[in-house]
Amino acid sequence: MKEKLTIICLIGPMFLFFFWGLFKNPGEISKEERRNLAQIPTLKIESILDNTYFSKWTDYFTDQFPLRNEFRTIKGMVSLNIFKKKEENGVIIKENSLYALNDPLNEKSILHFTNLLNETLNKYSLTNNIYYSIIPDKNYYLEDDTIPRLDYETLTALIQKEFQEYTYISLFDELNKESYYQTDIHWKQTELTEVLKKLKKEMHLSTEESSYTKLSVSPFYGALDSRIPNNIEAETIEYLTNEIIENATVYNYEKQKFEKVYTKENIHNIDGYDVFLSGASALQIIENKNATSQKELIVFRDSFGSSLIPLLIEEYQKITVIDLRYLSSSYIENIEEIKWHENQDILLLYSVPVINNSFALK
Amino acid sequence: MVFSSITFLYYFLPICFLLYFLIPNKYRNKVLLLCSLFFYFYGESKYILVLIFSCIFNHYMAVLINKSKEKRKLLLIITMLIDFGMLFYFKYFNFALNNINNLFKTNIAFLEIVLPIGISFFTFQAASYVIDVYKKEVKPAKNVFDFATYLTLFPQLIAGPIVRYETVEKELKTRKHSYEQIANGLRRFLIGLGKKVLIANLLGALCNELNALPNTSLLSYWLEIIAYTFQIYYDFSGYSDMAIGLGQIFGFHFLENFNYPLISKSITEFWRRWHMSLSTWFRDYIYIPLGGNKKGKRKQIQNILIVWLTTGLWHGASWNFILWGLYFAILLLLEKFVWKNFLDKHPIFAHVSTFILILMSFVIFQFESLTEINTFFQNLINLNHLPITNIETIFYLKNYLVILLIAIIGMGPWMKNLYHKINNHFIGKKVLIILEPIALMILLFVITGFIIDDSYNPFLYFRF
Repeated sequence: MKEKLTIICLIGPMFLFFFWGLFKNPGEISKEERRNLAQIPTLKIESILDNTYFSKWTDYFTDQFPLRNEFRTIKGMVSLNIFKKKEENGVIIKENSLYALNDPLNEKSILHFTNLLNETLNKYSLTNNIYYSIIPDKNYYLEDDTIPRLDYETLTALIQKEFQEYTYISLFDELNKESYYQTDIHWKQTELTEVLKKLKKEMHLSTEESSYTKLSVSPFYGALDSRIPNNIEAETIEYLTNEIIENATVYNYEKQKFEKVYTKENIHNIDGYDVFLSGASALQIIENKNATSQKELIVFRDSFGSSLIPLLIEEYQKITVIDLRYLSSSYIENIEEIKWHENQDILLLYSVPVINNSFALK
Repeated sequence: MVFSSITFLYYFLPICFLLYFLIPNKYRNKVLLLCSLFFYFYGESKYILVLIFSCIFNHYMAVLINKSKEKRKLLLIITMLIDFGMLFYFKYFNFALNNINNLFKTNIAFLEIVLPIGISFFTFQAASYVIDVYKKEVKPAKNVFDFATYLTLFPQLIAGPIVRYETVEKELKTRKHSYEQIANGLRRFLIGLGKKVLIANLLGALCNELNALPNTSLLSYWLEIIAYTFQIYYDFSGYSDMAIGLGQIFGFHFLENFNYPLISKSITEFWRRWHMSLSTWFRDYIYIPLGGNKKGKRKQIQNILIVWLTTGLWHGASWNFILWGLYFAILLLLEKFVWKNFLDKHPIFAHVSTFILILMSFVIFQFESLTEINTFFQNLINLNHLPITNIETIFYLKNYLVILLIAIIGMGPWMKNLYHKINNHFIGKKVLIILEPIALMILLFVITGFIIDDSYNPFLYFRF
């Protein structure tokens, strides 16, 4: 009896999922994991010989497995509740908020970051004002001395040593843990008042506070949400707008088309943070036709910049937004749309996680 | 193809199971052969011909040796030269070249050779078969298909154990299948898979995390080597369990390969319990033919050194494995001639000291570079004045504490004994009839979740 039951309980699910997997329509993306799912590989003799063909089939079977997300949840529940792990997939839950554990301080990565930006800017013999800010991740504000902490002081000191020619604007005291989403690594635009004040002051911009209308869009599930089972409710993205922002045009160089500063519908993208400046883009040119100033700004940024840059639009006639993760620094000089002149501010705006893993910057 | 994959669990195994049990008995070896060849082709397409060559060559050489009366020895030598020549070419050629370059300050270019997965296992199996035929201990297989079925049998093809032909000789011709055997096989397979996926892989991830720490501590080094030793044990013994279980499903009874080695009271006992198919292979095909302990103490010491140097080298073409073998040879000699009586009289000390010596052996096993080995040993005795512990170490210790405790409990037969105790009890037996299959099914789902979501699932046998 026990033997037959054992066979049914083990062989049964194997066959059930075998047939289910065979007849299931393959999905294209996993919104939960924020990535494309593997598809059936194309058969090529070379790919058989170098073992990549069947390895792609393994990826396909794993990615397209029926109830994939449910199985991932089972794994998370077992890890946290039975194995009593403190983290799951590198994410911890503290005070109803999710934190991605920092990688250890990577000095090579920090040097890669500073060298790349120095080389890029040195090509143009600029005499402009060059400012830089390091955006702390929310772990900086986590008050828990049982969790490994990145050495922020060394990171900042290393960058300051390499960026001596530029003006450092520290934002560490202008933020707190409420400045970030509970399920995401990013900051909230509506919590950037102090950051904006500090930037404007240090960059000698208008110190008058602008008036905005606060709009919102939901549901927002952050990047960390699906990496660990949690009971945090879906969040809302709030964003600030006014006439100037509404009338600004955003030219997307890759897509060769104009976009809006905020695209509410993008809340349904793999990354809901794409609401701001349509998310990751190699190069965007924002023009403020109602600008009173002739000044321009060039920003080298990562995804944190997407929500901050709209709040700087009214200060400039034109903002050129460059993301070196998608645009190679060596290619910049070939792009006509990027114009360098003296009446420009230059801002380097990068977050700690990107600086500490900067090899994606080209 | 590895066992700890969705492809194997939910595609290959059901298809293989279906084909095998739907087809009449007389074709079942051929089904297993085809499945095994596909299994190998899936993971190592380029080298399927090497495996097929080994099957055909060794089969016909064994037939020739069996028939021949005068040239038996010559044929055996030719077979061994070709089998081990192939192993040398794929596994040791570049290592030898590297040493020649270092020794003679030459600059001979390396060959672009990729090691075919499982070559050490199938070469050793084929060699043992041909030697056994030569010694007239077994008769040659009825035909090349039967021999190829034995040599390529997917449960043990890429990660062992080294199954001798004599173990499965009868079962290759005729074998029984029963619900009990299939259920036992499935249970054993799943427990092995659990050892690999839920313990070994997680402890492997812990090792990686500790290895990447910018701030290390004395405790982090001890934690790392304990986790690494457990990782290797649960990975290797898990694979053996899976192989034995799969064999049982298809009617084969492979010999045990691991018998709770980490609770041994001496290194001699450890090697009687660890990777038994390998140590008995070296004993039967190298140590005893060299004279074993029958030709005086000096010769015995020489034989032990030869066996352990080759055992080390079997694990990988690198100096650390040679050092690893030498380390065990010295410990075994010391036990044999110096402190055996002392260990026998002090069992607690024997357990603890043996475990520590095993941990130290895995420092040598873990790192290819002698500098890294040296630094690791220095840090284990805190020559570099590290802090006793730090935030990172405590965090990772807590993070993996339950898994480490499970690994400690699994070192001995205590859970197995408890299971048998319950199963021998009237009520316990009744409860287990329902509870055990359900628990196994839950275990299957948990393992599936870990395979699907896991980023760390190494195949440690790639260098064997």
